Amino acid sequence: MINSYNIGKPGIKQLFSFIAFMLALSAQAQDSLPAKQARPRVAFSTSNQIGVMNGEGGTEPIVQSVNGVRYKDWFAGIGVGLDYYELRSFPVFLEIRRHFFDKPRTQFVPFVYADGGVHFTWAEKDDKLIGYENKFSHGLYMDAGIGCGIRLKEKQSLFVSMGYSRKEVKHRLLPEMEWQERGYDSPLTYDYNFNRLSFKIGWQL
Amino acid sequence: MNQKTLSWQPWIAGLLLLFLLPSCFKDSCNKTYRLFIPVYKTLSEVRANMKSNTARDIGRSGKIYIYNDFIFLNEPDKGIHIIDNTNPKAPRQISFVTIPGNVDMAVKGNTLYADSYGDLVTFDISNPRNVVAKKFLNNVFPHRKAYYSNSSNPDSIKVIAEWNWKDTTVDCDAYNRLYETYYLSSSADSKGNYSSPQVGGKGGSMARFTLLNNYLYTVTSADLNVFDISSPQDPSYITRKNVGSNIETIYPFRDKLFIGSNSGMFIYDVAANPSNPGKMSQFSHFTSCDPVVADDSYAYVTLRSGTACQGFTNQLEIVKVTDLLNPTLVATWPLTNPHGLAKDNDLLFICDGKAGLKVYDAKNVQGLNLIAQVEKIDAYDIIAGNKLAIVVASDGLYQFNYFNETNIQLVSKISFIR
Repeated sequence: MINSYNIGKPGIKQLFSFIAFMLALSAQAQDSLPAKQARPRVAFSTSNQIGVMNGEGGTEPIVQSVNGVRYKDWFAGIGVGLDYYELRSFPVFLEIRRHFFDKPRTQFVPFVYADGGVHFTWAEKDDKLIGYENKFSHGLYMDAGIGCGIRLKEKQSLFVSMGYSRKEVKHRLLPEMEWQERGYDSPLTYDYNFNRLSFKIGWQL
Repeated sequence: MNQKTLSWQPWIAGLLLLFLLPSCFKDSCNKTYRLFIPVYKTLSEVRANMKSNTARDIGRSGKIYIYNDFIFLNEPDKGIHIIDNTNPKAPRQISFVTIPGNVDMAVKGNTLYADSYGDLVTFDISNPRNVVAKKFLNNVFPHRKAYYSNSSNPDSIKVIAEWNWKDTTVDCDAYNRLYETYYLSSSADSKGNYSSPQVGGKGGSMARFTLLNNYLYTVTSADLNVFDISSPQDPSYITRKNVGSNIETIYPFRDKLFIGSNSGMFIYDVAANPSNPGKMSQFSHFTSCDPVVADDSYAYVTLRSGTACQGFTNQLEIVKVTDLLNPTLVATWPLTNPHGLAKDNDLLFICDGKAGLKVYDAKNVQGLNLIAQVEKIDAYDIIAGNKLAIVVASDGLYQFNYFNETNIQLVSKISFIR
């Protein structure tokens, strides 16, 4: 149980806005490719995913969009997202993905992936301790696991993935006057390491 | 689908592993806090060091007092910083008077009165660069008695002279267990607060010491203490009387004392018998913290909520006090989290916590007019006069001029080092 947090519920508006934005981006990516074009050796690829992070702190939603290039069985891209586990934050990360058995007629394409980067905290009111100046520092974000794609068309696939994710947060508290005048003037720092299981479902173009 | 090239076993094993893993996933939390270690000295040693020492960084702000061109700024439990404010654009810290256990002070002429745990210490400040302790009254604030138990010999009494600290990191759960089993069962050190103005120097509205004529009046959470200071550097303790509970501030007004508690304001008369003030009346309000200032007609009371103050009210109450036997509320104004306040002619200054410093035109108390606001400072207490406002905030000591009342200007700032 995390001590200083009273975690708020994610903003549904923000989630929907993010998903709508990613759908629009995907549609644009799809429109930009000729329908019958053969897969080039190096090609732009985008994957958008939604899911949950499950851990000791409960189950919270995430959304992500990763955009990058695909070369043979490899994909590398830059990802951004929203992560509501314990403390709302925006992860920004590099994703490396390796597909296996990816032949033109293969329907199921397993893969492994690894994400690494930072997350930028976006604390909500309930995350802050009253009577203190609350400072949340950005920290490490990583996610690694396995997944499997289901080819729908030549350039489109659905996929599911599961992995281990870690998010690190430093929460620094500086007592405000109300506490200082009572003699509680020492800063406090909480270092949190959130270890979660990530479940994601998405589509890749 | 190329079944021959796809081996499912490793993937199924991986999935099973991942399904089993959540029970192994634990969030971790480490807490870093300051572990304080007391440094003990004999009472004799501590008192020998109650003098001007080298100026040092200000770590935390407390009461403030102005006397002539000098600012006396208390750092709770440690002592008093003396600041030469001859040039407000460049105030200079000239010395630090080490006073362990100090939270309050008052100044009359060349004499400074300060508490040190349960004692009252009298200082000669005729040379602010060479402050000298002149007299110690032992255990006159018994609610803060820290060392008078088995002995009265100052050479054998041990006093916490200072605290050393080191950052300590522990697992959060371990800290909670430590806290529950040790800290909550130990007796907490009571830390007083607030103080007040007028005879010699001028203090903020968050005061628990005040001077009126030849008397020093101090309040504890329940008592009013009276000291005779007709011989300023040889004060004598006269009496203590119970005035209620949760007393917070004291403010002199003509020949009256306004005593703020967290449930109301009490008016005591000192004209008839200054050594034994008599209660005249009281004005009740919601439970809240309530610094007070007053002019000829009105008392201005700020009520604030907060963990330590209880209550949920954050507002200014203006009480008509022309009839001191019947103070009446005439107006209230919503505020954010008001602390200290000051009045200079028609200007009312309010330290409104994170909302900053607010300046009102208070000619018409029924229709206060906000004419200026300094945002982005966590203002706590203020002294205003001669077009200069000295403001204690969480991060420093600010000075503003208000020659132009609608456009107050920052003159200088001394930052606190935390």
